[in-house]
Parts: sequence; structure tokens; C-alpha cells
Amino acid sequence: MALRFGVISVDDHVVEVPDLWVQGMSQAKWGDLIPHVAVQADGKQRWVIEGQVRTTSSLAPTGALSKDRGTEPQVWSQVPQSVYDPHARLAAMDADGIDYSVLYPSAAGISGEAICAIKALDLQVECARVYNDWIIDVWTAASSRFVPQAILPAGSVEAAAGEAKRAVARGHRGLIMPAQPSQINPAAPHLYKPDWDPLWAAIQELDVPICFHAGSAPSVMFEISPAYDPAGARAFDNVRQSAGSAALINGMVLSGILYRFPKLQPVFPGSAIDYVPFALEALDHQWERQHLVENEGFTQRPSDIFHRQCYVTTWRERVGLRSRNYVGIDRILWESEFPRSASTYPDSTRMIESNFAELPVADRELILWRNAARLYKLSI
Amino acid sequence: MPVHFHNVAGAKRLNLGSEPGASDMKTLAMGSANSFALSSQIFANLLLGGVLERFPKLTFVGAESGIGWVPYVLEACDYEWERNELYKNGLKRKPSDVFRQQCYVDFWYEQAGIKLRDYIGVDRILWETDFPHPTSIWPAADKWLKWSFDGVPEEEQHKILVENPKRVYKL
Repeated sequence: MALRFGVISVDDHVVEVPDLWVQGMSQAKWGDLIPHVAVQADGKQRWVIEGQVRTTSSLAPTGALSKDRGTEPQVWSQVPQSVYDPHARLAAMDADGIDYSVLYPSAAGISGEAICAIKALDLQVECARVYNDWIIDVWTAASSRFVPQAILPAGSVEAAAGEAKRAVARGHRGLIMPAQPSQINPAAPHLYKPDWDPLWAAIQELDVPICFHAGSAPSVMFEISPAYDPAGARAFDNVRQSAGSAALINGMVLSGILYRFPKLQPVFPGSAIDYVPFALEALDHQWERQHLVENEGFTQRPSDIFHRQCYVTTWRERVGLRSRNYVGIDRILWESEFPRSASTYPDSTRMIESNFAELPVADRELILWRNAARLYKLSI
Repeated sequence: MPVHFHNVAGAKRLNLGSEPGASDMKTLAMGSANSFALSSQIFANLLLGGVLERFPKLTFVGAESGIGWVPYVLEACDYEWERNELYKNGLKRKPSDVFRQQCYVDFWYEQAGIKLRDYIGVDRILWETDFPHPTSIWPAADKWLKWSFDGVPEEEQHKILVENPKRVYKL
């Protein structure tokens, strides 16, 4: 498909319809354990997953679509159509100047963590499948401008690897998992343990990216102080999430995972790029100072590993783009984060013009669409 | 008197951590490289939390902070300040302006961050060696300084190495 705008957003979120899992799963087998929306005592609707009410501040995170960027729907009748209906979404993309959109979930968690947290493994696996099939059957079926990505039942390495293979065979072009599954589900091994190697081997073989959304590793983020008002809390939350990605980038390198799996392609959506040159300098410095070649067998420089395999994303940065050659011009992707409060929507075109004003056309094209088209194998 | 937050004392809990059974060497490397994820949140809290607004003459210094992550905090906080209209909620000054009036950060081995010194604020940058910790540039501080200051005019080097600390500590 020819590009109209020259922009691919690699991180946007669908909002799951309330009957998604209820329709797709056996009531007789699972009963109320099936994820569903229920009215709470205060009249608000919330998702209930495996019998647990999700303690979210709204029914769906759609801050970018409200006037104050903060008022979010408490009941389904308030949810804007463009977040759950593919055709209305295409109209929103046209209005904001976006050609393709790479999809992430919402009710299932920004990284699928609400599903990964399900204790009963067979329920977890089936919920992941139902979401993944919905993305193909409803979103990709509506338009090839949606780039489908599957969530993994990361409570189990074997289940995650199985669903990765099934989902990619069904047409998914990327895989999503929480940055630290063991913090979400105690049954999962620590992400940096070799127990996950069968999954990394499977994903490397499937040749699709593995995506760790910012904000999906709770332990690396400061608590939001109760002294913040709602707008301040939202602002701090959006800043802290990207900062957490920095820790994960370091971990993926120093755990040895990327040394063992040289064709694994991790994407850190919502990461931001401003701090990446520092992250790489810090990694290289410790590698050199601590003699990690001799002590850990890490024969290549950490920044070389990053430049060979990793992808980071930008949306609100102008100064960060000045350091693009440190980050690696072919390592940077652009995202809108629609419809969350941090999103560039509905000002994407204006923000791109402002942030990219000083960049040569070739660099601009790489970041805005060429890198994403290569990574997701889009025929443009 | 300046208030110092030394990286990352008091926030050690915030870590992705190395895997159980990892070598001490690996854990140390991971911790050192992770620490700026915390510095950036400490400064984001200072800039968005309102303490610098309430005490406009208070000065905070990030010790062993590094500087390369600072543009991230300034750009992200400015963006959220504008998008969420925080100027209506008592944060009158733009976060990046507040930083350049009341905060200091330091470096010991970086180059990419130094290239963005005009944005961070040349007046806001200090230098350290971190002697005698494992990350220290001792005993080759001169070599590392040369690396970091490649292409930096002497006048700006003098600000960072002498004038800024002189002002902060009233030497």
C-alpha cells in the first residue's frame, strides 16, 4: 500500500469490547471466571478477570480523546467508538495523519499483564487466544493498515512459546509480553533466567519482534505520591513509565539473553529515546570497568548488541533526536500511543513537524516509517 | 545550602534486579547501569511535585547522577506540563526552566550528554570521579575528561570544572 502520510505508529492501543471473552469462551466450562465487565457498587463499570475486579481508574484508558486529557469513561456508554471499532479508528488515523498502526491491548493490560496474571494456566491460555483471534478476525480483517500483535500467556514459558507459534501462523506480526512476568505471576520464572530460552529460540525462529511495553515492570517505577492532584499524577505516571524501560534495556543486554540469541529483536514501546545514549554509555562503561569480557564472557560491547538488535520509540522528543546517531538511526521508531493520555493525538502532524524540523529527509523517513516497515515486513 | 541526593541511596528497592543466582559482577553492572532510571524519576518528582515551586531558592544536586538522561526528564516533563495544563494547577514555571534555576547534575565518563549541554544548561553541570567506587574513572581521570570534553570550548570546560562548583559551594 502506498503511504499517504509517511507515518507508521508502532504503539497504539485497541480497547476490548465488553463481550469479547464472554462470546468467545464456554460459559459452562468457565462461568464467571471469564473476563467480563460488571457494574460495581458505586455504579461504575469495571473489568472482572478470574473473579478479580481490576482496580483501574477508568473502564478504558482513553485520555487523549477527552478535552482535558484526563476524564476517562466509567461506563461503556461513554467509551468513544474510535477506540474499539476498526472503521472509526481508521477515520481517526486519517484525521491525525497516520498510515499504519501497530496494535497493543488495554483491558488485557498494556503488555497483556492482566491476562498473564490469571492463575489457572488453561484459562490464561484461552483468554490470550481469544484476544489474539479477535485482533486478526476483526481488526486485520477490516484493514491491512492495522499491524496485528499477539499477547503471550507469560505465566508459563511453554504456553507462551506455544501461543507465539499459533498466533504468528494466524497472521500476527509481533509478540507482546510484560517486562517482568514473575512480578505479575509468581508461577513465571525471572525474565533473565535461562528458563525462558525456549521462548527466545521460538521467537527468533518465527522472526517477529518481541515487545515490552513501558510501564509493565512495576518494581522499577516510583510510587505516585498521594500529594499529586489527578493531572499531576497523570503527568508523573507518563514520565516514570519510560524511565522504567531504561532498566529493562540494560537487563536484556547484561542478562546475556541478547548475546545468546543474536537474532532476537526486542522492541521497547513507550521507551522514549532521550536517555538511550546515556544508557548505552553506562552499559559500555561498566562493561569496560568491570572487565565483563573476562568475567562474564560478554565478548561484544553492549552498545554494539543494542545497535544490532534493539528498537526504541520516540513521540514527544525534539532534543532527543539530536542524539539519533548515538541511539542508532535504524533503531528508532515513532509512536502515537493512541488513545492514552500521553498520546500525540490529535496533534501528531504538528508535533512531527516541530520535532523533526532539523532532520534530513532520509533520517526522518527512517524514523517515521522505514524502520517500522522493515521490522514488521510491511509491503510498502 | 544545596540538598544532595546521592545515586541511588534510599531508592534501592526500585530495581528490575538481576536473576536469582546471578554473579555479583553481573549484579553490580546491572545496578550501576540501572541507577539513572531512578535519578530520572527523582528529578521528575522534584519538577512535577511542586517542592521547587514552593521553595524557589532551594537547590538540589544529583550526586553521581550522570547527565545524559536529563534531556529525557526535561522534555518529558515539559510535554506533560503542557498537555495536562499543569500551569493551571500551581506549577507556574515550565519544568525545564525550574531545573535550570534550581538543580545541578554531575558526570564522570559521558560524551553524548555533554553534546547536549546547551539544552541541559552549561551552568547546571558538575564533574566527579567517584573515587574509590568500582565505576570511578580513577586513576585515568585526565583520559576520561579528554574524551568527554572533545570539542567543548575551554570557557565552557572552565565553567563545568571550576565556576559551577565554586558557586554551589561558595568557595
